[in-house]
This record gives sequence, C-alpha cells and structure tokens, in this order.
Amino acid sequence: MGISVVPPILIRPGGKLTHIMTSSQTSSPQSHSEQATTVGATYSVTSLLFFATLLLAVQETTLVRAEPPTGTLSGRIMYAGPAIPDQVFEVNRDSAFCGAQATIRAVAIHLKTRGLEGAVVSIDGDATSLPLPPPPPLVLTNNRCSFTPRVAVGIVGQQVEIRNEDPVMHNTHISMGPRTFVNVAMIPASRPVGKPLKQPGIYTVKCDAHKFMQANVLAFAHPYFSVTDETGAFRIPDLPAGEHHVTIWHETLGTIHQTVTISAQGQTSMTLDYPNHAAARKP
Amino acid sequence: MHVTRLKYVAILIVMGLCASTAQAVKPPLNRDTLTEGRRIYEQACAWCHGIGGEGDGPAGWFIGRYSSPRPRNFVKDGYKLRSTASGELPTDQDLFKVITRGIPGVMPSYRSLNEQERWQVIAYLKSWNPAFKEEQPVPLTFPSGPQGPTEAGIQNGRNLYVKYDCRVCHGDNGEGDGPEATAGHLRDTYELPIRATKLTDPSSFKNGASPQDIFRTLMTGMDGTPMPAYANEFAGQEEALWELVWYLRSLSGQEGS
Amino acid sequence: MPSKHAAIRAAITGLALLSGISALSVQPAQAIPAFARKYTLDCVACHTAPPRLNTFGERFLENGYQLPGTEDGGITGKKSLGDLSLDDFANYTGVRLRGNVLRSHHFKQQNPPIADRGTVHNNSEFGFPEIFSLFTAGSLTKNIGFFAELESNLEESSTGIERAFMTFNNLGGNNLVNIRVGRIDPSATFSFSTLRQQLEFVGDSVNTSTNMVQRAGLFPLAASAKFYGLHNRSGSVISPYAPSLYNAVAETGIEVRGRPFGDWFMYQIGLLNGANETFGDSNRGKDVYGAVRFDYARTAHFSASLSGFAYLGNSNATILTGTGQADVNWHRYGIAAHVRYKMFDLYGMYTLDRIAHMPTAALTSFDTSASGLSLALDTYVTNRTLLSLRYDHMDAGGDLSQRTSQSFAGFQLKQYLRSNVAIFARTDHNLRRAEDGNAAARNLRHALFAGIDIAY
Repeated sequence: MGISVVPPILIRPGGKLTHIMTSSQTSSPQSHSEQATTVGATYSVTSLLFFATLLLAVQETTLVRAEPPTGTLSGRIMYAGPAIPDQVFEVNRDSAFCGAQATIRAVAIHLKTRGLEGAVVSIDGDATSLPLPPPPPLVLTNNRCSFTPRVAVGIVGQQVEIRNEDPVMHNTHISMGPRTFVNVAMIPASRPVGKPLKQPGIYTVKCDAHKFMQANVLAFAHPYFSVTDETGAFRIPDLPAGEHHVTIWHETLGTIHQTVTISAQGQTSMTLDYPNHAAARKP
Repeated sequence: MHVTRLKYVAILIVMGLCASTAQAVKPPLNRDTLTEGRRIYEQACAWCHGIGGEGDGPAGWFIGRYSSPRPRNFVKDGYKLRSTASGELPTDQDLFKVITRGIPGVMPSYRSLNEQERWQVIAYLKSWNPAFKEEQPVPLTFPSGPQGPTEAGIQNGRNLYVKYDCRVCHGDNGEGDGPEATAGHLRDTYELPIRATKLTDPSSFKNGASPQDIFRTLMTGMDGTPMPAYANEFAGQEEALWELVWYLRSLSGQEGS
Repeated sequence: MPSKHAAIRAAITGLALLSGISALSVQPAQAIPAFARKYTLDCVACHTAPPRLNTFGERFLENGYQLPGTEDGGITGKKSLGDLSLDDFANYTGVRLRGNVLRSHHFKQQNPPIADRGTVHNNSEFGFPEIFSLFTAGSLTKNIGFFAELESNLEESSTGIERAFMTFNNLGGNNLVNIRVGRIDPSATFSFSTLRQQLEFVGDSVNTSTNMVQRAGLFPLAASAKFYGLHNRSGSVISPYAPSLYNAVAETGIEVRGRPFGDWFMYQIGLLNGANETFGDSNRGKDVYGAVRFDYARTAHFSASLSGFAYLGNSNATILTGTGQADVNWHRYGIAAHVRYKMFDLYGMYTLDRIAHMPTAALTSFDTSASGLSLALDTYVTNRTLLSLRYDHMDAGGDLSQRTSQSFAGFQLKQYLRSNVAIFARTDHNLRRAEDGNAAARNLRHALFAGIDIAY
C-alpha cells in the first residue's frame, strides 16, 4: 500500500510528554507489513471500511509528516553511600538442595566504576497505542533456590514465562499490591507457565515455599526503560527529543527522580549517584 | 394457511422468549441496579466490608482479628474463590456463589437476599474496581468429568499429595499441621498469619467441599494465600487431579460425588 | 496480713490450676456456639469478644436474629415438612457456663456486728462455675423471632427464666418498626448494654433480717439501683446494687424500636408492667421509657454511638414510712456512648435517678436523687488475650443513715483458649479511702477472681 504510518506525538498544553509512539522505519518493518495485510484483508471484506481506514491513515500522515527527532539516553547509576548489609536467611526447607543459608544482596556495586547493578531507569509516560512487535517472553527462572533475573523489566502485553530448573518444588507467587498476578505451583521439571503482563507497575515475585526467594518485575506501557548492568551502565535508545522525567528504581535503595532533556539525533549522558539509603524514597 | 399459522406460532414463541428474557433475574447494569445494590450493600455488607468497599467496616476487624482472612477489599484486592485462572478476577457466577454459600467461619450465607438482590449487590461491589471494566474473566474449562474413585486412584492421589508437597502445609494426615503451618511461616498477601486448611474437616473448606469444588480449588489456587494454582501442572492430565481429589475426599471418609 | 498472703497463695494456686486446664485444651475449636452454629460463623463475626457485640452483631440483634439487611426468617439450613419445622435443635440452642473457680474478698473490718456470720471476712475459696444459662433463640419464620434464657445460679440457688420474648420485625418497611414483647432487657440495643459486660456481676450480700448491705456488689454502678431503703411492691428491700429500671436484666412489657431514617438514628419506646413488680401486674401504674441512639458505623474499622434515655416509673417502688408503706415514682435519665476502633472498645454510661412523690414525712431522712457512672475499656493485647478495665462510681441516694457512695476500679485479663472457651483473672479495688467509714461500700477493699467462661 505504501503508506507509512508515522505516529503522532501528542503534547499537552503544559508541554508534558503524554503520548509516545515508537514505530520508526528502522525499528519495526514487521509491524508495517502486518498492517498492510490487515488493510488488504479489510478491503476484500468491505471497500467502505478500507476507504475509511485509508482516509484515517492519510489524515495521520498529513497531520504529522515530520519524523519525530529521537536521541539516546545513556549513562551510569552509582551508589557511594554506606554499605548495606545483605539479608541472610536460615533455610528451613529443602536445605539439602538450597543450602543452609541464603543471602540476598542488598546492593551490588561494581568495584571499579562504583556502578549500581539492577537499577531500573525509565521514562515517565503513558501507553503507546501502536502495536509493537511482540517481544520475546520475559523468562523468570527458579534456579538454585533464587530467581534469575532478580530484576526483570518488560512491556505491558509481554509474556512472563516462569520456569523451574531446580529438583525441588517452588511456588511462584507474583503480585502487585494486594492483587495476585499469578500464584502457581512449580514442581521439578514443570512445563513453563506463561502469562502476559497486564498493567504497568512493580510486581513482587515471591516463592511461598522458600521465603528467602524474591525478585521484582517492572512493567511499562512504553519501551523506554533499561536495567543497569554490573557496571551500573544503562542505555535507552530512540527516545523522542525533549524534556523527560526519568525514574530510577532499585529494590533496596528505593526510587529517585530526575529530569533530562534529550537532544535530537544525539547521545545524552546522565550519571547519577543514589542518595544514601535513608534519603531515597521507597516505591 | 398452515405456513402462516406456523409463522404466528413462531412469532409468539419468539415473543415469549423475549418476554422471559426481559424478566430475567440478573438485572442490566444501569443506574437503578447500582442504586439498589448500594442500598442492600449498606444494610447487609458494609458492617464488615466498609461503606467504601475497602474491607474496613467497623465489624470487619474482628474477623480473624490479627490473622487471615480479613474482609475483602473490593477496591483493590484479588479474589481467592474463583473458577478463573490464577491472578484473574472472578466471574459473576463465582461472586454469586460466595454470596449464596457464604464462607465457613467468616461470612454468612446471604441466601436470604433474593436472587435479583444478590445480582444488584454484585454489580455494586464490582463498580469499585476498575479492573472489572477492563478484564473479562473467563472460567477455566475442566475437560474431563469426574470418574468415580477407585482404590488405585486414591492410592495414586496420595502419591500426588506427596509429590506436589501438599503435606508441607496441610500435614501428612491432612490435619493442617504440616511443618510450614506449625512453624508459622504461612502468610497472606497482607503478611497476616494464615492457617492451612484442615483437609479432614470438609465443613471448613472455604471454596466448597464437593469433588468439583476441590478440583476447582486445586486448579485455580487461592490468590493472596500460599495456596498455588495447579492448573499448569495438571493441564492435559486432569484424571490425575481427580485422583488427588478422591484422596482428599477419602481423608474425611467421603466417597465420590 | 497473713490472710492477705493466704489470698495471694490461693490466687497463685488457682492460676496454676487454670493454666493446667488450658494445657489440656490445645486443639483448635471444633464447634461454634449458638447462632454461630446456624450461620457457620466464628463468634467474632458478631462479637468483639463475647458477650460484647460488634456492629454486625448489634444489627443482627436489632433485626430479630436475622442477618442485617435481610428478612431471612432463619431460612438458612431450615428443614420443614409441610408446616412443621424440623430444624436442627442445636441451631436454636446455646449454653453458657461461667463463674469463678476462685474468689477472694478482702475487708477492712471483719464481721461487723450486724453482718451475717461468715459473709464478711477475708476469705479465699474455690468454687465451681456457678452460672449456667440455656438460651434458645432464632426466628420462627420471616420477621418473627423468639428468645428465651433459662438461668441457673448455684450461688443464688435460683433457677428460672431470665428473659423471654417474641420479636416482630420490619413492620411497615425495613427497620421501620420492630416490636419485642415479653420479659425484655430494655438496654439491649443501647450504647451501654447492662448484660454485655466483660466484668461480670459479682453479687452483693444483704442481711435478710436487717436489710442492711453487708458486702458491696461489683456491678456497672450506673446501671444499678443506687438507692438505699427502697422496697419492691411486695415489700422486700431493693439492693442498691440491683440492675434496675431501663438497665434491668428483664422486665415484662412491650417495646417498639426502629431506624426509620437510615442507620444513623434509632428510636425506642417501651411500656412495662412496672419495675420491681413480681410476676403479674398490680396495676398500680405502668412504667414508660424512651430512648434515642445516634450511630456512626461506616469505615476505617471505626464505629461510635451516642444514646440517651428517659425512664419514667409510676408507683414502681415503695418506701417504709413511720406509719407504713408509701408508693413512690422512680425515674431515671441516662446517656451513654461507645467508641470502637479496631480492637479498642470504649463504652460508658452516666445515669441520674430521682424519686418523685416522696411522702413529706420521709423527706428529711431520704435523699431523693442518686447518680452513677460506669466507664469500660476492652482491648485485645494479643490475638487471644483480652484486657478489660472498668471504673464504677455510685453517688448513692436513699436512706441517709445507710447510703454510702462507692468508687471501684476493676481490671481483668481474659485468655481465649478457643473462640468459645476463656479463662479469666480479675481484681477489683476500692478507690475510696478506708478511713471513710465502715459501710459495706468502704469495708470491701479489694477482691480477686479467677474463673472460666464457656459458650457452646
């Protein structure tokens, strides 16, 4: 059909970015072809609908003809505050396999860079309405009586896939606030359990069989998020240019906020020190 | 002539059907239904569930005092008693069943509200949680019906009871005294201590004690408690789950359906 | 002093005995008492801690033993054969056994001259839970309920119907008019219910020949008679500690009650044969009472109420004059309130009594007014331990030669072994100075009790 649908960026009068769309020619050719097939099918059913669709599409293209300028936000999250002792649990179940003690690291700091691992950097914003290419499932594995990864990030609609690689039974219980997202028994060699993320927010992952197992899943309504690696580094590409509110979350250190301005077609760097534990706001 | 008559009969039948549909007890979701639901709720339910549905009614605290369960918070809680998959909302029929049956120990049966009143209350309490507008709860389908219990089946059920770690909470003899329970490790979503159900005492089963009830509970789990859903474990092998059901029934000397 | 030590020793023995009993009962509750049985509910669905009701229990009571907001008529689990109801007897019957396994009174003055030998001296004695009550209650059919309580009190050697009445509910609309007829307790739906006290009544002792109070009673004094020298219609003395008028345990009559404007407001009007009537009615005059109650019970685990009543007696007591007996009118006015937040239950009542139509000859020797104040607080300190405190004050009236005011503080710990089985230990202390005289209200210095409370 040859119509390229370029998403509009809706700006509220106050200037706050409320509606971000991600499709650009480079990132999602697949979605275009899918859309084209859909339109074609519609044509075969009723030409009326086709014209309406076409009209809408043309209207959209005429409304926002210019490509939205994008940039990349990258940088490092660091923590230089006082050491936070790890949580040590006595293992009272399956200790033959899980060990007598389990340790949950409070913070993981890179020796050279002082970077903080496992912090989630994300842009505040609302849902995209454009279909994204289905991302691969977010795999959450019960492995050696802990969850891998400890911090998982995904987009709403993305499948969470729970696996158990241990020879003991786990009971994976994911919830958001007082509402359970999923609470499933995972005996050894269980087949994986999948369920799409329903709404954005912070999900807590626990094992009701092993109290010392914990993890978090963070779901977003847009693709602008990143987890810091072991050096504390993160990178969020294809961010629309302009001012953004950035939220940084860490399971122990809590949440902090920052405002950045993304320049078009460039790299914007952000290096941030987590304040001391007490000063950070818990989620 | 005959054809015309048949036409009239058909029209009459269709009209009759329409009329009976119009008199259906489940009222349409409209302002009148919600108003009536609210009136009933405030007279019958608010004492425990609170006037705003947050589970904080003046009498609600006394249910369980310092332990689970507390009255449901209709605004944001998930639901334990469902026919839907883990993490999903209950269907209207699930809610209707709870109101009609009550929950042993903690909630009386409200059979004394007539059917329409119960539906009105359901419409009202659902109006607090926006998720009910966004999600369409679908009950799990249970493909194979119950086969009668057999000696070997019950024995296999016992094996499953061990294999799936049921005994860890519910105890070796189903007395609700497994190591996790007696150690006080069991907590609900609010970190309140919660007891493992005593499987030898079917009258205390919160989700019902019929074979179908037990099967459903095992499939769906009890969201917000440490009782997980086993639907994924038994997908495609429902017969095995029925054997576990027969074993659990046998703990209180009960036969098949 | 040695006697005090003996009391303490006895108390320790008693508590050791009780903990022995508690060690025997480790299984969780299997059965649940009375109404709980019928609705398959735990006691705490209706009670903060039995016998105190929570808001749900209060509305269940008001609705004639039907679930609030419904007219269930006991249909839950009802079996019938034609017009014959074959319900489980157990769904309509409950028993309660309570009393002291140990009690100990301590007096300033041993056996004063007028006292009966053996009644007023320091003693610590073991007993057997002496009060046994059999309740039968429920609804016969939609909106028609009944209640009967048979009480056997070993200590008072009395057995009889305490309360017995019929209820007719929701006449003319939901909670518009509810009627009770029979031997009713008028304060049942008041903010301060005489019968629902964590600190049980502890009997007084009145000398049968001299009619003098020789041992003070431990009651919610705002609910008690407060007058010395009043007699009932048959000429027997009325103890200043007897629950009376609006706060009586039971009087025969009819009452109308409802919440016509919603839950926030309740009215109550009653007409009684007359307080202190023996069975039957002498037809000297009827007593009337009216009460209003304002409620807040909505959210945040909080509820509160404020109520007031006026009770107008008509020839409902007699006094002895030099020449014989004379009828008097005995009125009472009271206000009460309750505040409940989570486990915390605070309630209190103030009453003011007046005697009207006093014979002028007796006026010089008789104080025609009396007042009382009771404040109580119950709270769970653990999931199974209930702490109760009560302050009682009586500004006594009546015969000036006898009347003595009284102030007591009570303290009780109640341990629930199961929802329906509790043991308790309690002490009561006289807040008035011992030097203030030798009347019973001063002579009793403190008391200690330990006992059990079982409902099944």
